[in-house]
Amino acid sequence: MRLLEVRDLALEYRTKKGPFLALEDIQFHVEKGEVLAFVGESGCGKTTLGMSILRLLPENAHILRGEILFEGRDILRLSQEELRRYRWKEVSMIFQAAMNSLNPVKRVGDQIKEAIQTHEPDISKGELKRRVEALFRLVNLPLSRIGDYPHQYSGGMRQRAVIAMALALRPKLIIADEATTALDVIVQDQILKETKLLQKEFGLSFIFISHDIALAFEVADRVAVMYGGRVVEMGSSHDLEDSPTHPYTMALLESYPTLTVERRRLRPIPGDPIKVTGGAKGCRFFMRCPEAEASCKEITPPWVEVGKGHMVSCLRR
Amino acid sequence: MSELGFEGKGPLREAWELFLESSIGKAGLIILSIFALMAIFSFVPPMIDPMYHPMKGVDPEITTSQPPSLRHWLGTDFMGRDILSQLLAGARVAFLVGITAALMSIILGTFLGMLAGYFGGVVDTLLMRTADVIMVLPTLLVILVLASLFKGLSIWSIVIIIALFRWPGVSRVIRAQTLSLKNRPFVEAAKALGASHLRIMMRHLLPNLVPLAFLYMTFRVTAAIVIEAALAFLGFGDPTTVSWGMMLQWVWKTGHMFKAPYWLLPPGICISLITLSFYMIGRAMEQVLDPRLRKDWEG
Amino acid sequence: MERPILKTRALYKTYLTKGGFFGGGKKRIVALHDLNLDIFRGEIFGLVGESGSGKSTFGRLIIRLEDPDKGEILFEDMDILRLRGDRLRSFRREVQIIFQDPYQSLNPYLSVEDILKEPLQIHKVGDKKERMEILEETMSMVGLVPPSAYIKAYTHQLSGGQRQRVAIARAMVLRPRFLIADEPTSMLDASISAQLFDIFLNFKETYGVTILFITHNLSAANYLCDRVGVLYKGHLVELGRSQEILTRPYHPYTMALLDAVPKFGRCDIPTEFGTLQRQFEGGDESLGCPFFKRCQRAKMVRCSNELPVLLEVEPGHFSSCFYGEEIHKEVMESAACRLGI
Repeated sequence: MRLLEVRDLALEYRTKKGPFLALEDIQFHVEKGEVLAFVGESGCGKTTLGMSILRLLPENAHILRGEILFEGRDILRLSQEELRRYRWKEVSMIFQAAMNSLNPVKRVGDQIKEAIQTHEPDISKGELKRRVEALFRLVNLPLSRIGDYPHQYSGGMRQRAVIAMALALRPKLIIADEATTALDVIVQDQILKETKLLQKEFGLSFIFISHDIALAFEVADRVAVMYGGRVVEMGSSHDLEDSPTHPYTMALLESYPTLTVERRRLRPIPGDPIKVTGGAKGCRFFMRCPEAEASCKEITPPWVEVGKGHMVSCLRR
Repeated sequence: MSELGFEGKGPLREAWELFLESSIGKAGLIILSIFALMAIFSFVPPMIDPMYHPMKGVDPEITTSQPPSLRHWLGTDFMGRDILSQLLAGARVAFLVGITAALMSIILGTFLGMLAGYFGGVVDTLLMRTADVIMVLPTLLVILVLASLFKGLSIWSIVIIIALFRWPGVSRVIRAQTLSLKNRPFVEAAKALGASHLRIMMRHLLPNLVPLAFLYMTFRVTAAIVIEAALAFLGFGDPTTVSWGMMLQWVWKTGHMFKAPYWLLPPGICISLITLSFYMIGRAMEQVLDPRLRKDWEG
Repeated sequence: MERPILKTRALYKTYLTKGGFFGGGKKRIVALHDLNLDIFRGEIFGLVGESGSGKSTFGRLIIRLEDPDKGEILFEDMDILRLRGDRLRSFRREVQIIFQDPYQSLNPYLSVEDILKEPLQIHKVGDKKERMEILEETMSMVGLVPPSAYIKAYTHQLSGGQRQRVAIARAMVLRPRFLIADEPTSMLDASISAQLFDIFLNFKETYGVTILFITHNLSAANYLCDRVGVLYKGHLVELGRSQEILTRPYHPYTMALLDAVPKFGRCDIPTEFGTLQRQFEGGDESLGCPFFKRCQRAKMVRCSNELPVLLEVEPGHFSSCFYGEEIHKEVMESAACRLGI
C-alpha cells in the first residue's frame, strides 16, 4: 500500500472578490521512505497543498472534490479525534517560521516532552527522558542545551528543535514547507544532511515544499513542478534535471543561476505568475509560454508519460 | 490589472471600502449620522416659534414639568421649556465638545508623539516626561478645581482643557508607532535620497500615522463627551448652553429623577448611544487597520 | 576599470546588544572589523556572507545611514564621512540603495508616480515635463512597461517583483554612479530574480553604473559579479574574481560555503572540501581567526591566538588564512586526482 495517495484533488478559496481556484487536478503518491518535492513560484498552490494533506486549511478553503488517502484511509472523512491523532503521530509539518513557534517561556526539552506526553500519556519518566535525549542527538543539538529556553538558541538551533519536535511522535510522513528557507546556507545544508540520514534510517517519507529549485532537486527523489494550482510535470529529480519537458519546467531551470565559470545568459520567464479565478480551461502557463498555440488556450492538456514515471501535462509534447 | 493598467486606488480608499464591509462600523455610522441630523435640526425649533428655544423658550401655559404631548413631543422641564429642542441642542454641543476637543488633542498628541519618536534623545525625554506628568493628573478633578476657581467655565474653555489634558495617551501610541516606522526601509530610502527631516515626517511618517490617530480620535471623542456631561451634571458646565449633562443635572436638582422618566431618559440614552456609535466606529477601524483581524484570506 | 570608485580604509563597526532587565548581559557584536576594500569603476562587486556577517552594515555605512566607529570611506577620493549639508546632498545623488524587502521599502501611501518623483523633487531636477520624461524612461529601464499602466498604481496593487522594480527605478531616477543592492532578489521567485539580474547587468553595460551586490547566494553572485568578497563575522576572508573564488578557493570558510550550496545543473565547484567542523559549540570570541571554532583545518595555538590578515595569494586574489595556500594546494590536488587530470 502506498503511504499517501492524493487523487483528483481540487480546492478553492472563497474570497470577497469571488472564488479562487487554488488547486486543481492534483494526483500524486508518496512511497515509504521517499522524498517528494513540490516546487513552484509563490501563489502556485504548493503551501495550500501541504496544508490540505494535514487538513489545516483556513475556513474559507473548500475542497471541491478528490481524495487524500493515508495508508488507505481517506483523511477528508476523519473525525476530529482521529484527525488529532493523525496530525502528530502519522504526519507532521515544519513551517518556514516554525522556529518562532516554540513557546518562549518554556524550556525546549520540556516542550518536546509535553508533545510526547499529550499523545502517549502512559509513558514513564525515564523513557520520556531517553526519548528526548535521543531526539536531541538525532538532530545534532548538544544535550547540554536541553534545559535552555528558545531565546538562548540560535536560529539554526531553534529550527533543529522544531524538527526534533516534529519527529517526537515518530510520524511516517513529514511535510516540510520552506523549512530551511530562513536559514543560512551552511546551517541549511547541515540540517538537510541530517534529515537525509533520518529518512534512510527510519524509512521516513518527506514532502518537501520549496521555491528553491536547486535545493529541491538536491534533496528529493522525485520532483513535482506546480504552476497556477496544477502540477505540470512530475518525475525523478534526475529526469527532470536532465530532460525537463514542460516549457515551464524548462524556463524555470533556465532562469536559475548556476555555479559555472562560463556564464550562460539566464532566460527569465516574462510576466508574473498567475492567479486563477474560477475553473478556467486551457493550459495555465499559456500566457507566458514561448511555445503556446491557439489550442493551448482552449484545451486543458492531458497527462503524457514521456519516460518511466516521468509525466508531463502539455499539449505540445 | 486591467488592460489599461492600474487605477489609482490609494490605501485610504481601500481602507474605507473595507470599513464599509463591516456591519458594526456601518451601524455606528448610521447612529452617528442620526445624531448629526439632530444637531442640524437643533437650529430649527426657535425659528418655528421662539417658545421652543432650548434655553429661553418657556411655554407660557406651563409652569411645571409636563409629560409628552402634541405640543411638546417629549414633554417639558420644570419651567416649561421644550425637552426635544433641548435634546437637539445637546447633540450640537456634544459634537462641538466631542469632536473639537478630540481633534485638538489628537493633533497635539500626533505631532508631539511624532517629534519625540523621530528625534529621540532630549526631545523625546522632555516631551514624554511632560506627558507622564499630565497623564497622572486626574483630569476631572483638575477641571473641577479650575471651574470653581473661575466660577464656571465657558464651553470653549472646557474644550481646550480637555484637549490639553488628553494628548499624552495619544502621543505615547504615536511615538511607539513612529519608532517602528522610522527604521523601515522606505524611510531609510528617503534618507538615502537626501530628504529633509521635515519631508520625512510630513510625507512618509504622517500618512502612516493618520489611521492610528484617527482610531484614537474615536475613543477620545467619547471621553470628551463623557467628561463634559459629568462636568455639567456636577454643576460646572457652561450655564449659557444646554448639554445632555446639563439636562440631567436639572432633572436631578429639581427632584424629577424618579418622577419624570420622559425627561430623564432621553439625554441618558443619547449619551450612551453617541458613545456607543463612536466606539463601534473605532472597533471597525481597528479591524481595518490590523491585518490580523481581517477576515479575508489572501491565497 | 582599475581605478577604484570607492575605497574603504580600516573600517570598524560594532553594535551593543540590549542587555537583560538589569542591564547585564550586554554583548558587543562585531559587524565590521578592519575592512579595506576597493571597488572598481564599472564593475559589479559581490559581497557574500551569511546573516550577521556585516554585509548589510557595509552597505549602510557607505550610503551614510549609519556611521562607522572608525575608518575612512572614500568615494571618488572624497572622504564622505566628513560631508555635511549641500555636499552631502550632492553625494546622495551619486550613490543609491535598493533594499531587500519590496514590501517594506515603499511607502504604502504614495503612488508609483509620487515615489519616483520624490528624488527629482528633493534634488530639484527638471520641470514638470522633463520629470515625466525621466520617469517614463526610468520605468522602461526596469521593465515597468508601458509606464502609463503602472504610474497611477499604489504599491499594494503590485506584485513583489513589480514593487522591487519600482524600488530599483527610484534608486535609478537620479542616474547615480554607484548602486548598492542589498539582497534585492532574496524574497522573490527565481523567474523574477532572473529578470532583475538582467536589469542590473543592463545598468552596468549601458549606463556604466558600479554596483555593490550584497547577497548570501553564491550562485547569484557568480552569475552577476565580476569580483566577489567573502565576509565572515565582519572580517573579509577572501577576495577575488568570482570565477576564481568558485574554482580555486583559498579560505576554509569559502570552501565550507561552496560545500553547502546545492549542486544543481552543471557545476564547476571542483570538489567536496570538507573544511567545516561538524560538531561545534558556538561560544565566546577567540582572539584569533574568527572562523577558528568551526574550522576543520584550524591549528591550535596559532589560529586561536593570532588574527590572520588578508594577503595576496594570486594576482588579484586575496585570502586571510595562515594555512590557506597549504589547504588550497592539497584540495586542488585531490580534486585533480578525482577528476582524473
